Amino acid sequence: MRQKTIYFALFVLTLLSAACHQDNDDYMTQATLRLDGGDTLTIERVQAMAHITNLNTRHVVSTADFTGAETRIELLRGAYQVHVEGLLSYYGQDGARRVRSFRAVSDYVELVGSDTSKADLNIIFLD
Amino acid sequence: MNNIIYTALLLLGPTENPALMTQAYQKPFTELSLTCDYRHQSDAFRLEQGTGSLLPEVSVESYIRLTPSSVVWGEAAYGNGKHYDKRFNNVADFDLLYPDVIADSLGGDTRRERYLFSGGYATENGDWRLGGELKFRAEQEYRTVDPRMRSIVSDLTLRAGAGRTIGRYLTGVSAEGNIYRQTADVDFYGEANSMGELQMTGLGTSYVRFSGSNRDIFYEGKGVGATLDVQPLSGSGWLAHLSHALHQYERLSDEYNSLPLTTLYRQQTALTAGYRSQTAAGERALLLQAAYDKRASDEHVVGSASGQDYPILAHLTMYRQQRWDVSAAARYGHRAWHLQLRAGLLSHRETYAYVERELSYARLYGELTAQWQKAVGRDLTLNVYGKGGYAGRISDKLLMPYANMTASIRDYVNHNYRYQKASYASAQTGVRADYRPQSWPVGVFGQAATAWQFCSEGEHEANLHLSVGITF
Repeated sequence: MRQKTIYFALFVLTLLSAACHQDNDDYMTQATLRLDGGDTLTIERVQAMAHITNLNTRHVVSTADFTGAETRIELLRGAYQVHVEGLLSYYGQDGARRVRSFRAVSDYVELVGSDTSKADLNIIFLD
Repeated sequence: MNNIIYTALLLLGPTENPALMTQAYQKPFTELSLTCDYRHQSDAFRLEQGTGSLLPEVSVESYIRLTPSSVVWGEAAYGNGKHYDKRFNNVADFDLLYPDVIADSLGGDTRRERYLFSGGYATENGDWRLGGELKFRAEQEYRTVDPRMRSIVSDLTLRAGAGRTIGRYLTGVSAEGNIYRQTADVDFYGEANSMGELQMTGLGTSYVRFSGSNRDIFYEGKGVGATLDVQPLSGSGWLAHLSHALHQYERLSDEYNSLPLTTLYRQQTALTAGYRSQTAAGERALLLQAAYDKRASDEHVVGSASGQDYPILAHLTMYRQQRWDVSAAARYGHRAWHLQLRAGLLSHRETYAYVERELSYARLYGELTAQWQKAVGRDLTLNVYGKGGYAGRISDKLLMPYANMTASIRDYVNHNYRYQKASYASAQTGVRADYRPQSWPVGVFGQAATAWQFCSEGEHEANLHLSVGITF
């Protein structure tokens, strides 16, 4: 009986320990934001500033580090507003290279992948 | 049972296992008492808890032996008091819910009304003891000037326990379940007074998206716990008490279709172990105590609404608090005198993951308690105690992204840190007199106690406890 009591007590405590909360600490995602110019143009280079605002915390991260039409940045997993504005050079359907100012804005982008996340942003030209 | 003088020297504290209540008191009693607790701080040591309180309460407690082997006990209490100058906290039960509270920098005095009911039954059968207990607390806290906070709490705890005599030891195991609910809202009646409420998430952070005009929230809580006890039936022997409890409190927004904003997970584990030597003339005991308290708050990352439903995209444990309290106590009792020396280490650390914030401190403390309890004549019993202690800071750290903090939040964090990293000297004294002439059907008692804390920052706290009542 003594052993049974001890086993019962250990069982209760083990059960409680197993029920402990597992912390969710995969905070960051490697986010890729890609500017989408449609089928009619091929983006060669971008010089622009991207402001990425976390909708829940209102924390703003900015970057100007574009490679081709993409920028990669490490962000807290969450929902974001994205605002990109600057210059881009592209090749049109006629093969000619042009440089124009543009803006790409999205009010809601989910960047929640525990490893990587990706979002496409449509651009509009300002001139 | 909650008498501060009698609990001052209880090494293990009141038992949490209802099965062990069959021999908790030598004689049955009923006590009707009127108490008043007053606390005043010259500057709030913690802004959320205010500068003090005035809490009168009327209560009745009973411990009745039904048969030689079974007892019932119960308590009913009603309190109606005030808290003074609470800021950055517009909910009741801050100790339970921190850091997931709704808050503003204005704050003010609040009124608190509390109803408490509890009752239990325990029985012995051979070597076995069984018991059960129910506790219910209903509470409301409110303010009648802007910001008009109102919190309504219901808190139900059920406990069941078993005990068994093994040799000259009594062992016990118990389990408990808890259901908690609080509704909390903040209103502004003044046309020019309307201001945003912050959904706080720890160390001065807030859930910005759902702060502002979102002022109606509620908490859904639940919890489980277990205890394990070993103690000598009488005389000398080893004793141990282990308790482990898990609670979680989910904060939901009324205005966003019961959207869960955060969930606080709390884990409390405590172990006391030692040896007690008891004779007719006195007692000696040496105990080691360790208590661990962990809080982890998950923020629910909310997506874009579809109709009235908001999807939860992810759960991130942004806030953590870990607190250790490890101490050793030596107790010596001889006839009417009891002395207890206790020394320990308190370590506290809070972190917020991103943008990184950290607050930590550690204190070494020591305290000496003396108690004298004696029957004076045939009708009067006196119980006097005094206690002095010092808690000295040994380390502290504050890491904050000050460049991105508003002035009011910066001042709030700095204010609390100033007192958390401080050293404290404390002194307490109290007396209780029980008077019951043989010819009286009831006894009367009066009790007065005062406690003071002096902070190294030059501020102080004063406590005064008064109670009168009858026993029969």
